[in-house]
Amino acid sequence: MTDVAIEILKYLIFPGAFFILLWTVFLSWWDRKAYAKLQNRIGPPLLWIPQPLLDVIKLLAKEDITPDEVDKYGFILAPVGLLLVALTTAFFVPVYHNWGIVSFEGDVFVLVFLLAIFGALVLLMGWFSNNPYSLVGGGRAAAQELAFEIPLGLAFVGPIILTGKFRISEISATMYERVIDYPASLIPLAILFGIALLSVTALLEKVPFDTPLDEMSIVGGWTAEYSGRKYGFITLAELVLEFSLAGILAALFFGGIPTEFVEEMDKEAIYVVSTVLFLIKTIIIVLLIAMIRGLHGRVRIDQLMTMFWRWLVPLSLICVVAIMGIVTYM
Amino acid sequence: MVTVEEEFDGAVGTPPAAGDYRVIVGPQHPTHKEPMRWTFYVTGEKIEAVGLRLGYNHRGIEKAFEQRTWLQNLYLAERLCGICSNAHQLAYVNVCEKLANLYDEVPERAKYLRVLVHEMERIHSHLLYYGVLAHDAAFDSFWHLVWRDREIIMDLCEKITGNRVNYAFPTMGGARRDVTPEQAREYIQDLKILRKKVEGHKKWAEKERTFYVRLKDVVPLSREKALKYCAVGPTARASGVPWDVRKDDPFEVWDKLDWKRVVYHGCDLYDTMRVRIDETFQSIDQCIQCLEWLQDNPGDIRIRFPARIPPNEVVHHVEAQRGEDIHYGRSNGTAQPDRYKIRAPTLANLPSLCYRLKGAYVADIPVAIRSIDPCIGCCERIAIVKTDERKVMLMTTDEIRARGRRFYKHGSPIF
Repeated sequence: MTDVAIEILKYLIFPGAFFILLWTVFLSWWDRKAYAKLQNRIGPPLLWIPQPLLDVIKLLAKEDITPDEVDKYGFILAPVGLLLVALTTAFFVPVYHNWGIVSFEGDVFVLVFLLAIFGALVLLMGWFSNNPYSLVGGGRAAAQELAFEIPLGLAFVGPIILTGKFRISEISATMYERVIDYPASLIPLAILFGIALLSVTALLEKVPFDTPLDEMSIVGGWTAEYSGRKYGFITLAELVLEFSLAGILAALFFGGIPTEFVEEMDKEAIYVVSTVLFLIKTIIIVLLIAMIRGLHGRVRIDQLMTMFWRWLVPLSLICVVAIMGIVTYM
Repeated sequence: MVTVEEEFDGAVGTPPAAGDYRVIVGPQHPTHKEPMRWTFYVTGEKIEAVGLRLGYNHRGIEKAFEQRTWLQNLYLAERLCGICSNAHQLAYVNVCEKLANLYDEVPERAKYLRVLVHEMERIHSHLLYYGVLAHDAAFDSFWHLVWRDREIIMDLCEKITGNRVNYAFPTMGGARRDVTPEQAREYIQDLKILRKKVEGHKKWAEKERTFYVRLKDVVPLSREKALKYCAVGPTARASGVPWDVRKDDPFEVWDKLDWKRVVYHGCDLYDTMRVRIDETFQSIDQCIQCLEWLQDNPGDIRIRFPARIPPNEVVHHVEAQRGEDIHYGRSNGTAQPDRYKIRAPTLANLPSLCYRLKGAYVADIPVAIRSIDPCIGCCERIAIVKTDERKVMLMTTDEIRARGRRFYKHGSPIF
């Protein structure tokens, strides 16, 4: 009975929904604060309720408009689907002791699949909105999805080959030892981390890769017709996705606590230490994303496609082959 | 989805057959700071045809000129626009002085003061321009930092003229305020600080790769096309047309200052930005020279100007920040002008912009429109209204006013 209660609490409180939302809100605040500091602004304050949460609450309380011309069911259901997909990916994140709530053999590939569903939903939202701005935005989102998906997938393959595991938690646990065994693999791994970071920026549709949301030429792109609760869902989904991608990158590229330390320490201590390490790692990754956002302008969609297909796809392939060679011959 | 319809709601031309659907930008749109309506007929993301409709900001200012005295019009002239307020006022003041044949009697100190304020206005307008250009390309950090540094020149404008935007500085027969030698020394220091900051902006704007690829070779305007479509100002100078009124037809004291005209031959958005950044340096140099001259040469800043101007007719042009600004005035011996006409630089640049936008991508729209630094406040004063029934209607101010009265009384539609 107690075990069942603990399992349920895991899903609901820690590291489940409540913790995910809490840390999501903090990371979003941190992103905006770092971005503001780069621009010599003050940025949102961290009160007892952080600014991003207030934003979402405000959106949920606003009038919710469904225009006459849109495809009604699709228009209403797509944001809900977006939030569901984002929350599902968040459950894969190994918060403490290298373990996510959902963890099974091959979960990395399921994760990539879920991210593709996210992109497909965005395209559909642009189509359902029945508006030239949204249509252009949705088309750009689809093109962008095709561009960044392959580099992102190949970047995930790097750690998989290095550790020989298909489970995020096991990759995270054995990363440290494998890098000690093959120190030469650090260079391709670092390049893959950079590629993954750029792809994640494109997935989250942040500057310089926010062409689908271009608020200057197409007025918010695929979100143009959304308002009120539905837009609140979209915002929340994007915030949660930022959390989960930062967590996944932290697990795959920064690694978790290695097994020999785990055996020496007590159970309680390991929970606390691993959680704190996770929080620090996500903060660093979100800071990097904020810096990419602050130091560049928006590229055009054709320039983005050129960048990803011509440079990042071959580069990620080369890095994967290099890791393969290092693991096999050194 | 909106498909291409039979009716073409652009101001000029016939309905184009090309294009899958149309993207309408304006009259209210994040790209526009002032209302204008663009209709882009788009295939995929490529623009096939462009329609433009103006007239949302028509205020009948030219008619208002004829109903007020020359002195009252001084305050009307600076309210044509916020950012180029001093350019219009300077042109108006010069027209008045030339009409009364008093232009040569204006004290030299007043002319230096006017040039000083005009160039300071150019500096803040150009800083605003390339800040907003960066914002249009989502390069927001650059925008915020440029606008932070713009405060230096805005404060300086406030110190010299008493206002941050509408300066009310030149007046018929001179200038309204003076600068003491101590103040001049202090302002020169501020301008030197600003010059260093602008050097930083230039370095950053030219170095940043994502910004560069958004501007380089985008919506080109060749020298021939610039001449054909009568582009003026920085738009023309970026296409290799070396036309600058301050150099080619000097007025006030620009011929006595040491400065170079800025011309680039890249014919694209990148060079329109570079022209403006380099002109900012030239303007800062001119301001410093003016302040140094003002330190050493005390004197009067105003002469008496008559209330009535004898019958005469004058065309005058000044180099505003956005290009050549032409004013025409006709006096009839009374205290009021007989006719006053203004050709603002934005109107001259719009045809070339329409030409440039054909064949561009949807993503280029904001930066391309920003390239001429559109100022609809100056541009729109024509009393031609086109209705939806494909009719051209010429409406007088009285007619519009009568319709306005009916609207407020009975709620009947204005147009």
